[in-house]
Amino acid sequence: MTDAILTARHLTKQFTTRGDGAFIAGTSTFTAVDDVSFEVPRGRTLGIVGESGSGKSTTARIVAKLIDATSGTLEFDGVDVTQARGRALAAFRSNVQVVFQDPFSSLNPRHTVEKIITAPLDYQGISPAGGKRALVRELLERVGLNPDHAQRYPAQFSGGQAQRIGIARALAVSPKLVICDEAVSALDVSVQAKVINLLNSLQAELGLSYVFIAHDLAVVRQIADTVAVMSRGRIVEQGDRDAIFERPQHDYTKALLAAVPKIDPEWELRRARMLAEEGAGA
Amino acid sequence: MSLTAPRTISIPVAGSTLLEVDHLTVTFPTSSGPVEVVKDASFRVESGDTLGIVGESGSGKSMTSLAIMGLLPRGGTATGSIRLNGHELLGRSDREMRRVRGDKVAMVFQDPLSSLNPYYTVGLQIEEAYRAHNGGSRRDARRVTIEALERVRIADASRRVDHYPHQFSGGMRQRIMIAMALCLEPDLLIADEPTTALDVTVQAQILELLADLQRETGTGMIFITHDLAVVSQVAQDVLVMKDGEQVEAGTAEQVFSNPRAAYTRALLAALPRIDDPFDELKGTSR
Repeated sequence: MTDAILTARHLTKQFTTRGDGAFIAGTSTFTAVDDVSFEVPRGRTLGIVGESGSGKSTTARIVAKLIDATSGTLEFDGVDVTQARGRALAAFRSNVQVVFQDPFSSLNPRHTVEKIITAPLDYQGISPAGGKRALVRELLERVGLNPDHAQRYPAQFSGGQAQRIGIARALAVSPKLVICDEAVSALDVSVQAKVINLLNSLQAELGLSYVFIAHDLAVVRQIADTVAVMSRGRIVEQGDRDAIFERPQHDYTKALLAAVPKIDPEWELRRARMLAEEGAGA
Repeated sequence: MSLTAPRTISIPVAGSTLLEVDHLTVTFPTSSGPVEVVKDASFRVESGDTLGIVGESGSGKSMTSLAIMGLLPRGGTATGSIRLNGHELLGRSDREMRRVRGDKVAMVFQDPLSSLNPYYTVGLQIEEAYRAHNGGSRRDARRVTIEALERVRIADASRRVDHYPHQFSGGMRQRIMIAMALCLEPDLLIADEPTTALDVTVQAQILELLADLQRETGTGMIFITHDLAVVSQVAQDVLVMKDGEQVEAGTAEQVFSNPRAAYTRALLAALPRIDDPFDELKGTSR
């Protein structure tokens, strides 16, 4: 068994729905996450993929302790945090941060970048050694933004830049684990590639661990070390990234991989050759 | 598709050029002067073929399609030429364009739920669209509607026709939108990000359906998407747009195997690939 930063065992989340007053009477129970177990290896990335309704986002919210599981346990860095409240929960939050899908709706439009980035510090009651302002500059630089833009507002940034602000905020409390919930899904492909590169280099520099939730299998292949495939609340298959993508065992994983649109490999090969020749000629 | 000198000969011939767009420029007034959101775009769509228009947000790809439909948002003006079967569309009245839409050109949008009225059954909505353009009796419209639902592979169509939009999944709703477009038998179908909101397995089904229907009907199609891999699969010809400009055009094979524009190359390089992980991105962490 590898050294795990986070271990989830038998997580189950049930939602109780009321009847709709017309067709469905009484209450019914819907199991969004059904007996899900996984580990996040320290300093590595666990990718969770699935289609809509697969339970991947509910799983992310349980792992971030934004909601409680109905049953099952969650262990972070060797400590059971399933029932963590008060001080223990605050400690957990300083170690685990979340980057959300839509950068604009997750950044307060009335707050400056500096105020946004330092919000988790204020929540934790932490005052950084060199002062807040210096930390904000350092974080902006780290995520590839101009440190002089700390007094600007979210609307003055592009989508990709706004997502970098979200990442800077997540890093403010020096977390060990960052949960990225569809963190690059809303971005254009060229911007997406830059944010993926940023996440990968931050991992290398800071030793971060990631839970990377996405519906896009190609993106997960770029960033994950291990992959869990979810369908209808269950993990149908999990394992090493290359094993999942190259030798899928479960029929659902096979169908999912087969459905991903691909450019004709012959065209890709010809383009690669052409670019190589041009590069050699230049 | 030819991007050479525009021709003015306009005799419609079966299996020939369906849509000719020349020097299309779309302008919006802003407080700091007019802004061109589409700049001098020229392209062709042949009957039975698909032109893919690909670009990132703000590239002007959707504005191009709205200009063809005569549906530009208030304040927008289009100049240049848009000829369908040789007939100029620019400068026509709203009333004339209403006839063109539906009779000649139909559109399928990204979000089927916001395009369907939740208070009416899907059957009634398709029947209304059909009768608005073709007249005829309720009974005929219902027969055509059920046939259209069957053509888009909705099982048990004669029962499902009386269901409401919320009783269908996202993929099924997009099938309904396609059925609505097709029962009007348009010459040109414009599909603007029709699979973007759908799960990948559902997307594959819808792409297959569109290809099958195109083979059956010979409809010309403009397929607008941000997804290069999708466009490589559905289109014979591809137009790459950036900031309102057409940066590259050619057959899909040319654009993907031998892209000329630096932007196209960069876009292709940025595309995450499922079959070729960029291990170098992982650096030393591995």
